[in-house]
Amino acid sequence: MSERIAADRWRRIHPLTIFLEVVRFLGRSIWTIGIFILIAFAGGGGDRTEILFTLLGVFAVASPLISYFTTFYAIDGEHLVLRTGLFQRKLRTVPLANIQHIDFKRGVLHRLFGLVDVSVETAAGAGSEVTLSALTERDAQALRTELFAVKGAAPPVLDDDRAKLPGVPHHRPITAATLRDLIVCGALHNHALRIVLGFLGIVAFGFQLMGENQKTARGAIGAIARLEPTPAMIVVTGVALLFAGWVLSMARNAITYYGFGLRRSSDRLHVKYGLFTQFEQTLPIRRIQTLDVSDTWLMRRVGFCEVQASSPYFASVERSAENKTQTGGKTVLSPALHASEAGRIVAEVFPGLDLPRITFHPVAPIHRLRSFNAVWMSWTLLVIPVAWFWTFWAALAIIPILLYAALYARTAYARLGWHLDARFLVVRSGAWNHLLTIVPIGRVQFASWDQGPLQRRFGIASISLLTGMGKVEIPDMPAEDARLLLDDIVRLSSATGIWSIDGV
Amino acid sequence: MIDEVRWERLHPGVRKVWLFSTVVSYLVFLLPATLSTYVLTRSWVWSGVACAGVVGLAILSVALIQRQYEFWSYALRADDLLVRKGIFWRSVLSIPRLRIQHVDVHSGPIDRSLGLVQLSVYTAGAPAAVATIPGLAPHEAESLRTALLATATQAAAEPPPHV
Repeated sequence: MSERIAADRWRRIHPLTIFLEVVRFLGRSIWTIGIFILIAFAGGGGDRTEILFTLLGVFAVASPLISYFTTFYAIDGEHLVLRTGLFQRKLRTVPLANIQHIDFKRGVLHRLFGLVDVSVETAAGAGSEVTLSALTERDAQALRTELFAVKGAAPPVLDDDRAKLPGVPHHRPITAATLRDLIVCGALHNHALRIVLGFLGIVAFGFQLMGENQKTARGAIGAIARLEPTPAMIVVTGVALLFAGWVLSMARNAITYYGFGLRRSSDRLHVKYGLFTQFEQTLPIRRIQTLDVSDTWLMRRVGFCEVQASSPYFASVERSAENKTQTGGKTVLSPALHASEAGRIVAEVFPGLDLPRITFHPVAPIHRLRSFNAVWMSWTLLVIPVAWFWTFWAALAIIPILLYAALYARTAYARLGWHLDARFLVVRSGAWNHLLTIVPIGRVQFASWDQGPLQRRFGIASISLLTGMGKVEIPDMPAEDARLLLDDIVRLSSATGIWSIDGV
Repeated sequence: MIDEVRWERLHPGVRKVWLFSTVVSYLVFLLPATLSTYVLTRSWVWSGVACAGVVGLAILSVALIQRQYEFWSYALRADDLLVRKGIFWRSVLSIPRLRIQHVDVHSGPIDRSLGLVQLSVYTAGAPAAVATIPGLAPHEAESLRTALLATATQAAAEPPPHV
């Protein structure tokens, strides 16, 4: 393959990548370096510490240097080709038609120098993506335009000024999240536990370092013990901790999703967010496997919900470690959406689906009994160890457990429902935390009808179907209805053909 | 639509394959189970109980092979391949023909000695085979494979309507 590509067509990543990689490496090994420094200060190690530092430094610089001089990429007709490796040369060829997703990521340093990390995702599984780190803003935009310019598809225009030119398809804003919305949604979580765990971690680490100096450690423990906390102190500390956890949660949400905007151009969705590290994602609509509209009990109280799209790409390990909100193949289409807007967003992504007008079919009423049993049994199992010590209290706990299970079963049953039309299967579920899953029927890879021994006694069965990105289940339908639904799903899925039409 | 389904049974020889693999897997399990019970309890009585338990399970599994064979069936319909199985937990799997990515025909040493093959069907999105039909005569597998792939190839040959 490489022989076919002329030498002058190979493109390079930006030289500043070396610097960025060194910084990234040092950031990643900050704990190791910190320990070395502490050891050096403590007077241990001696000459060996210097050797270790030198090795670390050489490694930090050498690896990015080598990767800069050996990484090339090119677009060869219908393929994106990536060449890497010093001794063992590796060529990765990605057919442009198979690209699922293009992500831009800009860290703080990247933004200082006008650089972008580009990652190109295919459906081939984890580790198959092409990551180009880093390109200049202009190169990255040009690459994205080239990658998406396949077979007559309208080229995406990302520059807002160019979008105003006549005849150029421009990005239509669909939704944005205001700072206020983000803070309100952040306030629904509390990271107090995170703070406590972090604090404990630091304390444990400190004690480990002071391990040799037993006296200091004992002194510290003694000091804490001598405080003799009064109830008032405990309450004040608790409240302060909750408050701090609350502020942290709000700040985290606001920083992660700062300036969140979702836009659409012809057949693609564009998402952009982030205060310090900026993410920009481009997702072809016809690659969307399922659309999830979810909310928690608290979110509903303040009238918000969250929308996520799953597409068959596999987040690289690095990204999911850095940004926990971006795991699996889910793209957040809105982190804080006013509940009344949900129908409009869904209609933007899947035209022809009028969410508020949908009527849902319930499942078999016996489902209430089955979920009642499942809930009280699992809680009772939790209580059994307690019963060993406090039999009376454990027995008393059965009453609230049964009440809770009954309430749960009732609520969950009222919520559970499915809807099938020629193009979509919609499943509504969840008792306290609601979830609405929308599956374009052409995305169904296969479906199955399952019946356990107990289900057979009640004459019910479950339907589950697999899309390119996970499973969707409808439990406890009347058995015969389930068979008919299975047939309908397969018939409709086949009628859609193998080519996805117009985003659906 | 359901009534029109013509279910095909597996080749009767598949019962021998299942019998063999059941017996072998229980034999592999028997010795460690007995020995570890002896090590833990130091009592030949309990070891005997463990041994008898494993043998009992093996006999039960062997007895269920006939039932399993009776429930195992597949059907090729206009739009999909149906696979029905399970004694206690029953399932009917439906794979739309258009979604089939590739089909594998393979056979292990026991299969080969009985002149049988297995056919696996793969779709996108699933990490492993979606369904494996064991115990097919080679000519059956071949015709099934041809039928399944014909639809896929035909569909892929049509130009996409939108582009």
